[in-house]
Amino acid sequence: MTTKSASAEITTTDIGVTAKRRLGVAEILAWSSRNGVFVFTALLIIAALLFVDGFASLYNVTDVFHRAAPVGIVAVGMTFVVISGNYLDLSVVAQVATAGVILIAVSNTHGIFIAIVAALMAAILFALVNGIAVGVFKANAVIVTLATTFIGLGVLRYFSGGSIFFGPPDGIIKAFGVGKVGPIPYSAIVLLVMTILLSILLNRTNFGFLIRSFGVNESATRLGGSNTALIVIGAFLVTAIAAMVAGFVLAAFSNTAVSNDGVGYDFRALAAIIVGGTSVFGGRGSVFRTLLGVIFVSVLTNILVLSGISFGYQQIALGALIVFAVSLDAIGRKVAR
Amino acid sequence: MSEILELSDAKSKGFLGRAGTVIGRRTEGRGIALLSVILVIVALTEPLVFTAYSVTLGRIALIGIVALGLTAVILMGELDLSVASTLALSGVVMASVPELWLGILAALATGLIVGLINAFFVSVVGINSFIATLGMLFALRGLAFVISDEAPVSLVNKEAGISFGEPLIGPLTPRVLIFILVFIAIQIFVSKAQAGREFFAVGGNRQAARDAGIPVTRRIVTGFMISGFVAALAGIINSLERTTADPTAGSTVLLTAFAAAIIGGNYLKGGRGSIVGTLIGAAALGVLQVALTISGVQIPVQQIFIGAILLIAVTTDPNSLRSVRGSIRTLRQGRAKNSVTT
Amino acid sequence: MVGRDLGLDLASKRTTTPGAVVLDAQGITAPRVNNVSVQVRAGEIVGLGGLVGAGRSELVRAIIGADDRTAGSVTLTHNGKTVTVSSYQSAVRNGVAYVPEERRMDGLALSMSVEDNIRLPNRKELSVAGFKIGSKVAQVAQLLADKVGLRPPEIRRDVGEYSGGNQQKVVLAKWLGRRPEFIVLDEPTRGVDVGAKAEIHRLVKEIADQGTAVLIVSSDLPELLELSDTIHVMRDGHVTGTLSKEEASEKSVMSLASGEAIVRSS
Repeated sequence: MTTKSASAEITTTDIGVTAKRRLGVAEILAWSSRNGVFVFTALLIIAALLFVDGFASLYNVTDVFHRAAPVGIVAVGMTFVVISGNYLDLSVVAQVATAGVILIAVSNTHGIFIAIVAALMAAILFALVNGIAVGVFKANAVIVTLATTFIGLGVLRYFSGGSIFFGPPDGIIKAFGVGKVGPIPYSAIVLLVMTILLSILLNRTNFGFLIRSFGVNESATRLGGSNTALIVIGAFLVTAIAAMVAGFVLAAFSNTAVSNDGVGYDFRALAAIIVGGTSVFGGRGSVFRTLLGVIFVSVLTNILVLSGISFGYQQIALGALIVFAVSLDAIGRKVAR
Repeated sequence: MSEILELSDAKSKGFLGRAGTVIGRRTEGRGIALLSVILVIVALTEPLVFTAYSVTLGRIALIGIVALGLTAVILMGELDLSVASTLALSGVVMASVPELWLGILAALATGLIVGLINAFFVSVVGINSFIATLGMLFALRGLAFVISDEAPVSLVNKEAGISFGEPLIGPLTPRVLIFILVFIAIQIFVSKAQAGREFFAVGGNRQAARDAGIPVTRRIVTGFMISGFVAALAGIINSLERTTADPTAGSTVLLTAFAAAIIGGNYLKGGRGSIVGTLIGAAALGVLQVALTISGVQIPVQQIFIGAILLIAVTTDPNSLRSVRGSIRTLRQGRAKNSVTT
Repeated sequence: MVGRDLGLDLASKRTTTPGAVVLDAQGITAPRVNNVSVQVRAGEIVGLGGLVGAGRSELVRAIIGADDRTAGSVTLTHNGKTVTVSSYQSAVRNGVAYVPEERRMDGLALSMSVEDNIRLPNRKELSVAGFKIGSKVAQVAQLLADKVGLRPPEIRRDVGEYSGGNQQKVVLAKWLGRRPEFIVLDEPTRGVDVGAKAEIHRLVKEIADQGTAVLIVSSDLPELLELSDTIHVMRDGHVTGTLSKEEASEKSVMSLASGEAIVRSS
């Protein structure tokens, strides 16, 4: 990844490449917006280890990862939508809860396999509605997913009556929720596996290439002979599948599911993605960065919780974080031109 | 299939054809269509909505106030997603100040400050308004939680709240009167005031507006401050009438207000729209919401309705339809005359 | 192998007479285009002249499906088989290449590497089961970058760092390997320095010599006159006249472009 230099297209050298970059404020800003997460996360963890009581225990650390897993899974999936230049998918709030409720409720009556199939169908439906509205109708993704969030939550609450569902007492779900490999909970392993799979999808396949290319330049991608509607639908489909898996993992934690389970997943996932250095303007980013962003946000949240800071402050922190990180990115881009 | 968006000769069609052309051409067209449909259906199924018109007007007023403020921002091609949290925060601020009038002032000031902050990020820093106001939506909600200690805050002066709900002039409650005032104010601003009319230019082509000498940054600040102020108004009204301020308020109103503005013909990309259109959209949705509530439709289903309407509204504006028509036409051409393929 | 055979040995074949009709566009009507018909043969370079706003770019985009057309049919004939061109995607699949007027907005992803840009239309051929074959992509990209004379030929560099002439070469490179049946070039040397311009002209002639049908839009009269075998001049969305290589001169093109004289096509 190279930083853009601040000059135009005019050839001044005989090798036809524009002037070398200078190390100014702009470059520092741009660099920090993209790579700051590494530094900040390291600093944050060090600060936490030193100053926050209760952080430096194996139990706490594994707990952080355990709790981070569902949001993390959503975040790595939603990265595809962000990289494609479609800002974000607010409907993950509804999707996570829907997947969890379907898994738990249907497992009780029809067994887990049918439950997974049902949840998959719901995820595909979300993806199709979002993807077609944004990809074919070219509507604004924020508004579309705002609408589908309400539709999804409405449907979910209507059918579930807002009640809490309990999973089969000695079922696979419960076992998964408490299972570990050594000190590492299953949920963290799922997060890691998803990250690796999605990273391969983004970086080594044509689909991932098209997503990145679409985010950089939609017109050029289309003129390269690709079906842009399918690209957008694909991005939302990846997010939907990730949200579904996250919903499963979340439901497994407590072996219960309720329609409110997804609250906050939209901004927590977005915060992780943006902090990780993926640009909300599209085209640039990576799944591993999002994972790092997840770690940062989770550690931050953990610090706040351990310090007794209430939920309200956490929200302020995350909201401010999003705005701050995007500002860095915007300033960096602006000055690089 | 009649091409609603073609510039065809209206006289040659029948009533439906002409209606179709009007819907397609006029900015407020879809709003009028939706309102007409809803009014007809409601008149047939739930006429109580009209007899209990104070409730209906009140609902329209609440949606409309927020939607009108949103429209100011949308006309310039921006979005303000933070209105939901501004609403909640202002309510909480007002309730937390023991003196009623001081609280109201503080709440209004909150709205203005939020608008300033939004405008700062959008015009000075240069962040997309979707993300900037989304971040503010989260952050302000958090602030509302902090100030309210995560629980609804009761008004100190409950009598004021109760009397606020009483009709003031004729059957019109203060809420409705404020709404009418806001509507008149914004409509005059946007159609008569120089600054207001420039909103359209800023939305249509920002660079051209700048080149024409329009102080774009100042206009954006004005727009967001209007939106914030108006959202604060809505928060004050909401808290007064319920005599408590709820820090979680606003999300449904956000959805409905956007739907109202978009149905009213306001292009999300800016440059084209109508305040009257927003009024019509708010009326349509207000009537719908009250009708659903009276018929006993549960809240989740109401949300499905509003969500679906917003989704349809945002996918059926002329831009979107044009892209779809293109794709369909391409598919049709390909399928019709497919000779040998390599 | 799926897709097209990527021709990496692009040695020129000398063909001086144009072959059979490859592109046949009839009655093309679109915004700013009024019932225009164009034919291009294999190995032929057809130029579109005219003043800015005459509808040339709109015409070619309507032909290849990059923009919608309200009427008209387009067929592509190759090896005796005729295919109807409907969507842009099917056009590319059937051997159409497009070098757009705005290379920065439509032709290239500036913040991606040269290699990535070259990969874009060739991705299917450079992958297996959807997975990228990294070594092959690098190899093909390097070969094509060398072929078009990209200087310096560093395929890992971001395209945005190169000069206009080099950028345009990358646009050509991504299509060259596909040995297209038909290529459209819209203002191919606008904003390009003199050296690169000559190289691009050479490349265009080479492409034609290999049997590709070439349709070129250019406001650069000398370029148009030098490259084209036939010139259609457009004005206000229709063709005002057609000039053969002998008839074509700056004067004849300009008079047709400004509507001073209507010349029946020969």
